[in-house]
Amino acid sequence: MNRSMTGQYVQKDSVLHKMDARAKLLCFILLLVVMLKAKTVFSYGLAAVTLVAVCALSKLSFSALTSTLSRMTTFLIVIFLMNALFFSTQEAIWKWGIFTLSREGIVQGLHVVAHVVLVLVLSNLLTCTTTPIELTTALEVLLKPLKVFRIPVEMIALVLSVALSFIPTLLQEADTIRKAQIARGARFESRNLIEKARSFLPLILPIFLCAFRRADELSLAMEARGYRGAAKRTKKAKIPLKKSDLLALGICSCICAVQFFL
Amino acid sequence: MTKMSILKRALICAVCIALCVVLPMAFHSIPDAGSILSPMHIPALLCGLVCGPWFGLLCGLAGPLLSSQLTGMPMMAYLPPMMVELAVYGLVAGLMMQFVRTKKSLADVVISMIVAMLVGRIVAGAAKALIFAAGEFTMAMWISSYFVAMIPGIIMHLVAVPALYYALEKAHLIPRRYPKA
Amino acid sequence: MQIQLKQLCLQYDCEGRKSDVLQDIDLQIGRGEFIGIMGRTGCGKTSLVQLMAGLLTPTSGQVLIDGEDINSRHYDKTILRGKLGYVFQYPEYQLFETTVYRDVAFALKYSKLSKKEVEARVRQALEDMGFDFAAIREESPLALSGGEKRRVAIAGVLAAQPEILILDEPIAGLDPQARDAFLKLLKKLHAQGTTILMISHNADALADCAHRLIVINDGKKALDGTVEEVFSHEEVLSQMHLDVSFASRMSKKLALPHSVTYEAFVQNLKAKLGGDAQ
Repeated sequence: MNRSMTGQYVQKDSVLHKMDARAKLLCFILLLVVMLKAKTVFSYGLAAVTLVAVCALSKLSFSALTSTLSRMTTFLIVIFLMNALFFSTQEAIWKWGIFTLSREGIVQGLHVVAHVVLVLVLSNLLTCTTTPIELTTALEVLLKPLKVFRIPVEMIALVLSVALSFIPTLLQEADTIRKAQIARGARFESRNLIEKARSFLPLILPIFLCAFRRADELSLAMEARGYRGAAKRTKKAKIPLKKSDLLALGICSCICAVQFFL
Repeated sequence: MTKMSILKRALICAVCIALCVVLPMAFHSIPDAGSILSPMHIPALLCGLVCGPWFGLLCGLAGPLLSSQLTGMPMMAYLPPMMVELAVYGLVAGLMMQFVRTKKSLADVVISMIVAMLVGRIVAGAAKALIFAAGEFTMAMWISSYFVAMIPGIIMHLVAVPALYYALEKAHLIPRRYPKA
Repeated sequence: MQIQLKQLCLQYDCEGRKSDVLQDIDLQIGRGEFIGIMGRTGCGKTSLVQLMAGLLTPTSGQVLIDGEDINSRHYDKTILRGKLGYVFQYPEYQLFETTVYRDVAFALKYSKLSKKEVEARVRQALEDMGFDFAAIREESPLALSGGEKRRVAIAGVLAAQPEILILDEPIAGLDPQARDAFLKLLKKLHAQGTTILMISHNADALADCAHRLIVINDGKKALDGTVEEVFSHEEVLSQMHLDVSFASRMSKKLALPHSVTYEAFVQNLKAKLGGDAQ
């Protein structure tokens, strides 16, 4: 199981990597609006130029930025065709059964595909330049206001960061268990549905047992080290945003505002 | 039923979320297991049953989201209805476990999960028809995509989840629901 | 030759960069050998035995078992599963059935044995691992202690009565008594003709059981020979962060004739002391 996971953090020394994760997340949301608001030639131009500029700042390789795209080619083609062929209109160029090819349909399809591509590259930029831990911490800070509605933001952040840190270990354990059961002669190709369902138990049961064992050990270790509930966790001292972060936020807000008028 | 500490339930929820990412990848090498059997449903249901409705809800929301972010599966277009479906699974499974008490833990589990699986499918179908694919999603599509195409998956979930609950109780990783007198 | 490895290479793709796990391994293993495999953590020894078991596919090179290439398209891997048993590191994590009996019998599920034969084999395997068959058969394997779980899991592999047995660190974490009993069982299986490959960091256990040692270092075969030969290169081994057995080290320190097993060392020491006294 050596498939690399896409959208994962890539270590580089760039402005984007050094940027405060809170500011980066806010900028991301602003730029997301820019990408989704693109409708006219000018607004697409603005979105594309912005995206290319941010990509250049990130110092990331082209392949890292487009890794998710290549995997989604078929999906993109399918959504394009769905939009192009099923757009209901009077001015059909070509008609066959339920399929109606129209100019509006093609334009609509291109819009959807362009939006998906822009958003995917943008979210790749975020996840490639920010470690998952930074991201969850930033999310925790930004979601603070939700506490008004009695949503336990800290608890959610704890759960998410533990979940992220467990993924590689569990992946390896799952792989070992799969190999061990295959070595014992496990098979998965039964035609009988109940038999087929049962044949997955040798995989699923040990994987869950391992995972729950890990949770059990970690809870003991955390309690032993004096964990007293998420609410009373001592927080790192608040670090104010740097000037560069504020500048970036300002630029992104301007671009976002401009986009509304284009 | 002796209750688990909130920390322990939070950590179990965390590993269930991690499993939402790991299981589809682990099943990847087995032909069409990932798409037909929907392995992600199992941790969401189990998290609700074991950790209660709120952690179940969190697992159902965060599991597919993280998986989609890290591995590209499920694809963006399917993500929102799937998050709704799994979140309802976790929530309802947890709620049902608080009310159903038949004195037999496996019976409680099976009843709770069946209700959860039904409600989850109804809510996800309704959400699709009203929000995500408004106007294009029909009753026939709902039945075919959420029931008929899912039969192997549903059978596997019905076999696996009670078996898991039983094994976890046996291994003392979760407290017994009805301790022996 | 029962197992032949020909110019075996294994590479992992890591973020576009290729990293070599194993390079150009050539190896011949005869029927009935007892082989110890040593190497520091991460040297590729587990990958090596997983390639032999057909659980990994080599980047290049061949694995021949009884003369047949196990990675060829025409090879039926179920034959290999029946022939080769593999005890993973921490095998206790693969237990899943409701009773010990069912778990041990899992490997025999697809064999054509009758119910009676299955039961006989399960009984034999559990008794070999030091259990009382009648007392343990209906227990839940998940509720056992750590050491018992490991023994049940190993019994699950032994029940298939494999011709080749591969063990990855089987004695790490066992208490001394269980370890000695287990090594004794391995010797018995070996005497019955089973080919055994055991990965271990425990030089004393390897000296005690194995006849041949293979040392892997940085993905390459570094040393290969009888235990005496390999342990005579103490310097080379210590450069690879590996240990020789206690007997080997002591006999060098005391300038006794080189011996690797504890028994031989004691005998040499007695002879020396007796000789001096006369």
